Amino acid sequence: MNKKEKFRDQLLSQEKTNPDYQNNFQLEAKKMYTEKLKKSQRFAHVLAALLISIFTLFFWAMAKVLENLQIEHGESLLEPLRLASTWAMFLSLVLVLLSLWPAIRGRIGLRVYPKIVRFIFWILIFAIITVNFTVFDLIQKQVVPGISNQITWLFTMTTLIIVMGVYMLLSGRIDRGDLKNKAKTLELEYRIAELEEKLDQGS
Amino acid sequence: MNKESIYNQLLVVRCRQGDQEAWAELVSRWEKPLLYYTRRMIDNEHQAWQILQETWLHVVKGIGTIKRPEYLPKWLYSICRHKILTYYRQQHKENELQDAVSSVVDAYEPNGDLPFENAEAVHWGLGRIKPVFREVLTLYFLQDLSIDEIAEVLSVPAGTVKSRLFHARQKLRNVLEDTQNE
Repeated sequence: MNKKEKFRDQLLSQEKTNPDYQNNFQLEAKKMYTEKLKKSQRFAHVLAALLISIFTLFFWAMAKVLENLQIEHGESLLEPLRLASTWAMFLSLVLVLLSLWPAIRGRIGLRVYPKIVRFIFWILIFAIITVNFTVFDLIQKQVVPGISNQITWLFTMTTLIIVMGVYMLLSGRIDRGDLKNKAKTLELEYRIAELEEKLDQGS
Repeated sequence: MNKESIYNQLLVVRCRQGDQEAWAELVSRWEKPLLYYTRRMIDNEHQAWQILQETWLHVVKGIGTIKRPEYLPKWLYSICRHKILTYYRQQHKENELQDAVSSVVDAYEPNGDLPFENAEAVHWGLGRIKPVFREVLTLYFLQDLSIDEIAEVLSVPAGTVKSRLFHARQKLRNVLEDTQNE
């Protein structure tokens, strides 16, 4: 520690504080990490919940279609697909509730919340791709009267949703990757600075 | 870039990644200097803690979007000063802080040596000089900011900061000498 740093520390130690105020501040600072949402942000969460409810509707419709679907080839795939659709419907419902929760509460946990949401979102994207493409493939193989138009419409809509979702996820992933790289670089820089300091002290 | 600055940046990046422990550490690292600065500007300790709390509330909202973590000290002091000014405005004491300082721009350059070595005396003396001098000298003594950064925090040219520092040191020296002579 050089002369200036020593003086700074001595100066800071002159400040006598009331421990009650300090404890209160530290408690409040801990709570702050759950971000308070503005009105516009709460509205955005409601909007997200509405958009995600399209997933719920989609999976509900898919489960219904699969329940009544009769095909000649690949019938054994229908039941697992229907089950997958039902599970995905429940998961998307959870995501709807998760999106609504901060809007109702007015606060959002910055640490765990985004991770849970991201995790469920990925599962849903995977479910959409798997269920949708498998069903489409089955329909293409055997024309089922009265169903194919419906499925084609569903396919177009969900493809659009998938593209939007993948874009959002990719941009988020790029940001996270960038932060991860920054953190790694800074960790290295910090270690180098530590070593330099030790070498300076040694010489 | 020194070790402390790198570590501060690392904490900011970790906060952006959602690391609550990094947040706690960041607050804890900056609690003392920010409180020291705030207390030099505001007599009431309770009020000073309130301002500190408001400062961190502001920080937590903006930390997710901070693009240059190396500007953290400047950013923190700027927010804190803004909160202090808001408090003064509410108390109708704005003039107290903005009291007249002649626009003399001396050729004075701080040479980096601290003429004052007794922290206890400096701490005591800071409370006895005008707020405008107290503020610049406090920021200088805390050493978190360069002269240019202090200028940005105070929204004045760097020359004005140097001039204020020169006068502030003189005032502080006078106060300390007067006390010694008594």
